[in-house]
Amino acid sequence: MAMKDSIMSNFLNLKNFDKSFDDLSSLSQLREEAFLNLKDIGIPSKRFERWKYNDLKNDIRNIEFSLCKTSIKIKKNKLDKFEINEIDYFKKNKDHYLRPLKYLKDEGVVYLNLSYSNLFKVLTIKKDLKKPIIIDIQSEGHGMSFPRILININNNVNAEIQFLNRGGLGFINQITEINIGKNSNVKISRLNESSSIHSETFFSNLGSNSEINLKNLSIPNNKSRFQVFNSFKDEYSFAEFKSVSIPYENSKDDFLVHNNHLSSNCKSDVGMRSILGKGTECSFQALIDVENKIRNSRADQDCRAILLDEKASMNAKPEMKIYNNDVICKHGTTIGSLNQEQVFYLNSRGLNKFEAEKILLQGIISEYISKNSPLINFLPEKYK
Amino acid sequence: MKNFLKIKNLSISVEDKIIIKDLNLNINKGEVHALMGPNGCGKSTLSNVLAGKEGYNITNGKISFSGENLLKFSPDERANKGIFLAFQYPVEIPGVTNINFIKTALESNRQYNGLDPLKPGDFLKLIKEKAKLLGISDENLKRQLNVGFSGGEKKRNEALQLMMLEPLLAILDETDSGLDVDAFKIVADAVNSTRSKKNSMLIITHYQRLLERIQPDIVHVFINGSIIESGGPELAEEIDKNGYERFNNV
Amino acid sequence: MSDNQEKLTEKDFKDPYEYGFETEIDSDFAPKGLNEEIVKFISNKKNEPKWLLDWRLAAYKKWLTMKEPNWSSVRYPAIDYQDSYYYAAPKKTEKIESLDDVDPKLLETYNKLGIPLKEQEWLAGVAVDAVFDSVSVGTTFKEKLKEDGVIFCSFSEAVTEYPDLIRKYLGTVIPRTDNYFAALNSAVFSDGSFVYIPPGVKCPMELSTYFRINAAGTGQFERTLVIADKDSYVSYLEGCTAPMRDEHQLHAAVVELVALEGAEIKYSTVQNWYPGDENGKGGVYNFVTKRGDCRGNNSKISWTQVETGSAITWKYPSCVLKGDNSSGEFYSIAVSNNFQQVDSGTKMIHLGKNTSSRIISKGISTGNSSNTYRGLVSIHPKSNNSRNFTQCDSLLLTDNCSANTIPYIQSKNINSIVEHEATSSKISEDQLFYCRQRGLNEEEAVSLIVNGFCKDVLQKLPMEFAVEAQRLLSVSLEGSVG
Repeated sequence: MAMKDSIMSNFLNLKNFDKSFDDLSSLSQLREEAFLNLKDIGIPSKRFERWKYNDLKNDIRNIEFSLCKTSIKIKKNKLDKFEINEIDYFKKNKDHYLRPLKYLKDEGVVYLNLSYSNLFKVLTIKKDLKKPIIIDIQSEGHGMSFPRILININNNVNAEIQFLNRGGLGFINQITEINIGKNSNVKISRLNESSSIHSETFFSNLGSNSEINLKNLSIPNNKSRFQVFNSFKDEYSFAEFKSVSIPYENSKDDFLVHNNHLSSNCKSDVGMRSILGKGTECSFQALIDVENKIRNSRADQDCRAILLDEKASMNAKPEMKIYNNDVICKHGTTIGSLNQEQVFYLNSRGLNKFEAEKILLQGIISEYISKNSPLINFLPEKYK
Repeated sequence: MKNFLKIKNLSISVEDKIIIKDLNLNINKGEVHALMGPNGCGKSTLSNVLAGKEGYNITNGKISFSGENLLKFSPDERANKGIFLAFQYPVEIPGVTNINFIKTALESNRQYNGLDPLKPGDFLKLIKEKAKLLGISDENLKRQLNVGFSGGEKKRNEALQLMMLEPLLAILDETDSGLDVDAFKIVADAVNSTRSKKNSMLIITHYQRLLERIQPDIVHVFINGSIIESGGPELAEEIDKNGYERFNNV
Repeated sequence: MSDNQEKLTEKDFKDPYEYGFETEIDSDFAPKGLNEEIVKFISNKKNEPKWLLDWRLAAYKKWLTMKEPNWSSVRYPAIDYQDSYYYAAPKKTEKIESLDDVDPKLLETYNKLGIPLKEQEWLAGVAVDAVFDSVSVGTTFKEKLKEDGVIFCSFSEAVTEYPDLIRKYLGTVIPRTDNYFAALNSAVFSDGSFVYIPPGVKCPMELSTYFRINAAGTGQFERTLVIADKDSYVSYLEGCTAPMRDEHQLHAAVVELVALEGAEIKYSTVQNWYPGDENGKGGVYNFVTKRGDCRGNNSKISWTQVETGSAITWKYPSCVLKGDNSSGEFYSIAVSNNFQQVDSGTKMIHLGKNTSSRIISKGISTGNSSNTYRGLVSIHPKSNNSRNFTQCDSLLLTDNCSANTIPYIQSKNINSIVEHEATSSKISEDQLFYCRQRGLNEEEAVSLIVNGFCKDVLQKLPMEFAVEAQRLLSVSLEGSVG
């Protein structure tokens, strides 16, 4: 039976699916609530404004309805101590289960995950981390999986976290949530080199004077989507998002970054660099939302896409919704091929077409992924 | 009015911090006063308050200009009454040309004072004349106000506006900063040429060199928000030689 | 802003809407409502040929199957399409040979609007086609233009005099099925302008047209068609005013521009329809479909607009760049005050090779208004070596207004370059203080800074319009600072 139909109709037969669903029976009421909403809204398709560039309904049409083997491995330094919980966390804190709905009420993939999720990891970090935590999410084989990761960072904590998304051949639908306490700073390096149909929804919730710097490198080998929702629930915080996308041939990479300035004196900065080869397509939707009565907001967006092939394409929708005048907001988007004058200059210094291209693209990538970044090792060979 | 600008017991604070304490200063018509002091002691605060900028708390004192209580007038009313502030850091206004801005300001001034607007031909003649004195090209007159101008170019623009608006009281806030030797001479001499028995100047500076070209009648030493000492031009020379140390322990 | 400054009120200025008045003239009304009979009534009143009546009826039938679009950001109470008159014309509608035959009350109206048809000196050579409600009244300078072969007349006249041209080009840029309001317009369009510039002719004067909505409850549905044949040039000015009203008035016009090989069309609009009062009551709904087709190689179409009126503005003057080397331009200033809503922008569709487009949009919101820029730049895979530059800036003057920027940028061609920049900000305190220290009061300062902000667009307007536009800008921003 087609995936989409199975998802919509097999909810009650989950027990036949996998034993782990038995374990979730104490949360069944909440999950049913999510499922009813899923039925209402449906799996995202082109008709939803946010999904117009990436039709999920169509993409998962032919995927087998079964679970694929997925694991979330957490690597940490011996000296760092923090709590790791699984489903027990949500059983104890039932009101946290449906919390993503506070930020987003009309997103099909969120309801999908909340209905079907069977793989949980909850981290609670109370002290500065001496070394980065590595969260390695790996899937094998066809089928689907719905990982859910929640990270609670207490006040006054500095933490660095790496997310590695790998493998899989089916459909992976993930929710990641990070709650950042007052005066805390979080640096995130995220890698996506999945070969599955991959959709991740990322929520960050910033306390006062906190900061999140998210650097992303995606090299998808299928269709990927990463949507980020940053909520400034308190003043004087800063959210940075910098992403480099280099999809494999005939792959698609989709981004949506929504900065919701709910409090005054907050700053957001979004940057996107796409390098698009044969048959690739990338979309970048960025929304800056500054509510009425919010003072002194600053928001920047910057997107640059380099088309390297005739069959590559880029869609950008850098959107701004500003509801009061105490705002400084700007963005720039450029789509084109490599600057020919720069190429010629390098040619004239003895570099051939490929060498020139390589240097220029490396330069663009290094704006966001520096030599010291943990992501540097994952870059495709030709850009290292 | 003999007493042109009269500041009595003026105290000003910004967010509970006292910047100016009990300031007394009288400037008569035809006089040029210099206000000298080290950086960060409130000189710019005084010029901003005289011009009517918001954000300053006047906790005590009076300011009268031409016999009127200056504090009850808005910045533009004060400007139309003849107060001109040459800013230390002039702001940029994109899309508005230098010449257009000056014309608008001049017209506003003339209208307030019951004068007919200048005929376009007369205005053009006047501005070209003053621009020439300052070494400002026609090209620069057409540029957008201060956009992309170097510090020195901005100061020249301020001087041009001063010469065109002919204020009764010109406050020069660190006008000499950012100017190279040649530009400095041109600006100083041009400003000095506007001096007359009918108007006055308050020159705010911490260097003496401007005062060589625009000889002040009275020099005040301004430290920690108050005028510590007043004297003739020789006071400026003394500061030039010995700095402000002598006054620091008063 | 300061607490101790007295807020400037409308009392300090003359009547904010000086064009708010109504002429008492008998009008010939069609009965209220919209159905096939009304469509036939309209076509009949204009003595239209059967093919056009059939064209209208097909559009009407299509409209019945369509739904009003709801994707925009503008909100308005549901429109009852049956509660309106679709045809109104002054009683004396026999052929008017000279202006002496025009109803004197009508002429008085035009004088109030400042378009004295009789005073050639004032117009300085601009031909004016004055449309009164649904029928064109007089056209000056027709004879002079005829010498060059330029056709500039009312749409209704063109249907009878130049049916082949109408038949060839009508609906080829905006088909009847394009959208809900285009279908409605195609069914019940009243009148508008028709321009045809023959090959090689550079139209010697700027063509201009004025509109008015007069009779209560009549939506106005203008239809304009401008055709520039090979290597020709025309500059067209459109400026509108409307009287005060309590009910909303729908204005769903359609403007089609066709530029053949090597031709250039400049279309400028200064729009000042009644915007509603300070509480958001009343005002015109301006739902317009405007599109230019750069059909031939090396053709060029530019849209320049200054929009300050209407309770709701919903329009996207667009260019389809079919011909190789063709170019499209869009320069816009949109001001919204009180409770006005604007959802406007442009679409530049790059199909041909070496095409270029340039978009400069300046939005100024104040009061409690909402101002949205919605744009689409699309580069087709075969559109080699094309270029787009877009600059959208929003200036917000109060803390209750809003400015949205929603640009859709799509590029499927490796050799093309798309550049988009946008800013949103307010007037800085430092800029205001600087101007005030030079003697400008708060409103003068804001006016000066806003003019500077809009300068890039104002420069693109033909001279006469630029003056009117600047005046309009300051009138629409009156009482808005704070």
